[in-house]
Amino acid sequence: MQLSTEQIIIFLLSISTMLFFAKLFGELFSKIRLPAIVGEIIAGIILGPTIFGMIFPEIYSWLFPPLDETKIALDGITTLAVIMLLLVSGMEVDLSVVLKYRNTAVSTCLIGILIPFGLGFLISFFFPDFMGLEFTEMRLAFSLFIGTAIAISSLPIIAKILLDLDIFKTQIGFIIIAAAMLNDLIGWLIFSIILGMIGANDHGMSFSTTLLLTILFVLFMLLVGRRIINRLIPLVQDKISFPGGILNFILILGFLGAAFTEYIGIHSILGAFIMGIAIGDSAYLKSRTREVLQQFVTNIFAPLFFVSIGLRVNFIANFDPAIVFTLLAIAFIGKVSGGSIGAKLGGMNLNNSLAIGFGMSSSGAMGIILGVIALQSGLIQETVFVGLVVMALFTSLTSAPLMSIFIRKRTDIPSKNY
Amino acid sequence: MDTPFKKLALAVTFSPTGKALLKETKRLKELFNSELILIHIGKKTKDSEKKLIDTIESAGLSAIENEIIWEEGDPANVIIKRSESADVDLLIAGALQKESFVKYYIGSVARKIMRSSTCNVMILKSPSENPVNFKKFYVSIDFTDGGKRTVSTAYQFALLEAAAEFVVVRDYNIPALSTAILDSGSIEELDILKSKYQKEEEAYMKEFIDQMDLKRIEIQTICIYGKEGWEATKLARSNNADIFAINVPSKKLKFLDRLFLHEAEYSFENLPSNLLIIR
Repeated sequence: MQLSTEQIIIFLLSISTMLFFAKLFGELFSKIRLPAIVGEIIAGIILGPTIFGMIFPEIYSWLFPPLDETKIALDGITTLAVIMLLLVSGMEVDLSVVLKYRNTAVSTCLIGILIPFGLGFLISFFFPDFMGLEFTEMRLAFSLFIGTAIAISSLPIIAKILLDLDIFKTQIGFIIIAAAMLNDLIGWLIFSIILGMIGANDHGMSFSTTLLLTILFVLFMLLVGRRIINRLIPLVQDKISFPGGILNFILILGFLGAAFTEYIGIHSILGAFIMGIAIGDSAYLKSRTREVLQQFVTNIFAPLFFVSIGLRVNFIANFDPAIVFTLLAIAFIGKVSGGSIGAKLGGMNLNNSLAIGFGMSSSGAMGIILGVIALQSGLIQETVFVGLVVMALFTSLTSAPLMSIFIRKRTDIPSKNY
Repeated sequence: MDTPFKKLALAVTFSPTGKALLKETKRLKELFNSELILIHIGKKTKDSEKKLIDTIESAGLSAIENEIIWEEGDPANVIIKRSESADVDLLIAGALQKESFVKYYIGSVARKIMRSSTCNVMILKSPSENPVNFKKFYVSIDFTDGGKRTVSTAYQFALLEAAAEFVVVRDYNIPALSTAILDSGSIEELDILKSKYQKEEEAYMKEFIDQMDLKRIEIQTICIYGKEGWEATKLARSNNADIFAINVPSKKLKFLDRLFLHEAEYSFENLPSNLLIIR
């Protein structure tokens, strides 16, 4: 089976269209100081069956054919995109920072996860019909998933907010970043376990085997693999032309990690994410390498993925106000209270704690990626997916202004002794 | 002239570098004009006692004037405990040569002393039987009281040595900085922000050093953006420092710190030079 000339042309046109609209909306949103990713997702919703597909159904199904090889090729690209996105996200997670600010960061993160997770889990478990569950045998996994999707925070959005408020390089900024990094790690681990539970693998592995292999993989990569990679990076940087050699090396490792976790029945992205953490930890890795990779992924691959979200679903037809509203309410109540209580218990004052709570409330890209995977694996239906995307968009837009109510200027915060 | 350390302790061994360590310590004892306690771990027999005394005296130290502590047990634990109970303010030990991967996790005597001692520690990387003055001092700091203590102690030490170079280094990391910018910004914006933070750090550094009013040796200051603990260590190593001084909080470093590399672990893991740890 191979693509015909016409299919190749359509495939290239669809990618160009996606990239063009992603950049257009991404830039527009950045210009008005809103997260670019929100613009990219909205570009997808406009291009997809919700608006463009509704108005010009024929052109839409010509450009984005629903069922042929072009669709498979496009799916391949978006899978690659999300793997690279998670690899880069992992590289930004710095466990030594988490450790340094552990006193406040761990409680902020854990309580910040526990409360929204608990709320999401309980509501979905006891009111599964209301939350749009179709297959009752998946009730436990479904409820765990909703809890996780609500509890996960978005590091890039949080980082951007801190930067805009000019509190990025301050102690409170670092605590929030450390908590968000830990949140990412825990969120992905829980999600992987849920995927193992619903038996997403095709190799007939039992849940306990998957779980055991996942734990072993994570421990091995974070304790031993990290050190091996740290020894290899200077070799690659010295012996092979820079930055080509090291970029190549990072992507190979990322894809291998992704292949491994896909094989053991969780999702490829966990492997890429954990591999990213192991690579990003190396002191030898030049900051330019990170930046080049980040540019390349955030400007080319990530937009393709974010636009593709809008192409999957009709957002108007699947908009269920009850689900959207409930998810938003749980996200706000759970995440803001969880993050704030955690920060307060960790020794922050009330204003800063509330700021942290609001800062941690955006689920951004991470929440959406979780949603896409859950939709693909049949764990959730379109209505819940739309609810999750709306929740992610809404919280990404609101967390900055809400946070700024509690932190006005940088002089409030000592920035020197961190 | 003020002396930074009034009471030294040395862990004496019969290892090949034992004599060189004793000679280095003798020089430091005279430099600081301080008391010295020698701690030896092992069973005290007639033979071993004679051997120890011979070793000590062959280095030109008196086995009578300097207190000798004999004790059996886990070497690192005993050395740490005895130097604490004797109120030692600088514990000196020799480094082992590069350790293997497996040994890293188990931890060696020198490592354990670096991590767990509550008093100041000096680890001599390659002690010499013909010790010479330390000329190049590199001091890694953060802007805390501990950082201040480290600079002033190293400075007194450098004065006594008539050091030629005294460099204060601050390495700082801004986690997730590129994520924050590059999601919607450019590499130029990132560079602009980095240079803003760099200027900020340099201003803090100037203020920090000015406050300490140290005028007798010229102090060079360097701020480096990068991995904390690592960049300063790298600089000291590549500039062939004689002493690399760091501040380590007096609480013991936990196992977690070792696994996920507390910033001090970069210098513990691969000594850039002789290491002075100020608690």
